[in-house]
Amino acid sequence: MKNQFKTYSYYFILLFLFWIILSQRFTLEIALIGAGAVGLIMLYSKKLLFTPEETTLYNPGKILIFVKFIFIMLIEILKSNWQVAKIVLSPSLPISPTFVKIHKTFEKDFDKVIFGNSVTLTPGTLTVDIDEEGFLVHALTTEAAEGLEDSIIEEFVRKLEAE
Amino acid sequence: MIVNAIILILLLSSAFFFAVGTLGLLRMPDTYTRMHASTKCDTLGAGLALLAIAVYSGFSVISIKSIIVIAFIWITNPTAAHIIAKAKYHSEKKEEARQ
Amino acid sequence: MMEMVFLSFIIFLGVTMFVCLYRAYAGPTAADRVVAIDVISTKIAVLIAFLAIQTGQESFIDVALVYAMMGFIATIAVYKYLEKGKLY
Repeated sequence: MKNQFKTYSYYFILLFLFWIILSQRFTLEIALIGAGAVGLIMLYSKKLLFTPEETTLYNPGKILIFVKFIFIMLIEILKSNWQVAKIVLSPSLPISPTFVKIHKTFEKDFDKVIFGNSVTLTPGTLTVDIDEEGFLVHALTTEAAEGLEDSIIEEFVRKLEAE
Repeated sequence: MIVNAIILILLLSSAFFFAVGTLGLLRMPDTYTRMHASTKCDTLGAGLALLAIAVYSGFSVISIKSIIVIAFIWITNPTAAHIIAKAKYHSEKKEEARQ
Repeated sequence: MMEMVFLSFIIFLGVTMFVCLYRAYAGPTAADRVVAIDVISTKIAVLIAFLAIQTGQESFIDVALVYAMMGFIATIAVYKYLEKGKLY
């Protein structure tokens, strides 16, 4: 019951802020309508909300780590784009596409999503499938596949997952 | 003046990445490699272009909303690429099993 | 001066969209076409955001937000169709 209240209050604050930004001004009627709409939306999509068993982001300390992670990802994304641009613009197309299986799993679904999306955005790799054993990754070059074994992304996602 | 220079640099790099993504979509030999080119370059190109809008309009509703659009595109684009790749992979597996 | 820069960027986006349309027309499999359409819908969201600046209509940026969401939902619909053969 306590956990549920925490989940609902986080979602209420997030969605209410989004409503205020969309409506551009703050009066009593707008706040009341927004609160009603947010309540209805949470009631309707009760099954979709993240419970504390699925994510660790309800802990304020984790949010700081997450923000740091976003800045590191920005640098990684710039590097990855530069590499893809070099490959696309070179006349001979130096690619050797392969499928690689990475035997790493995370307990919580949210961490799996973050790891998969980060792998997609980092140099030369694309997440294709996720199952119990690990991630199936399509790599553009063999160096990109080797670079995934001990990456900074995994370190950060493990830090997010730790209690 | 400096703001205009920043906007110009952002727009030029965004145009470069959009062009590279489009070129990769045309040149790459199969679906997965096309996805590599298009998702990465498009995500960064859209982010840079919307950041240019946010810089141009200063601190206003438009800049906050364009940053929300950036966050949304950066979450959904890799997810969409993953979904398409998964559908393609599973349908290829089904074809192999049938033969 | 900035208006001219934005206008030329919008025209550039339009040209790249037409180039992507070739892949949607020629792509050998359904997945190629979906990738091309996904790229085009991202570009359209950016283009609508630029139109909001160009025409001074602030509410167009909301349209860009909704369009980005619609493109994602369309991709999920195609995935469900390819995987299950039905949409519901």
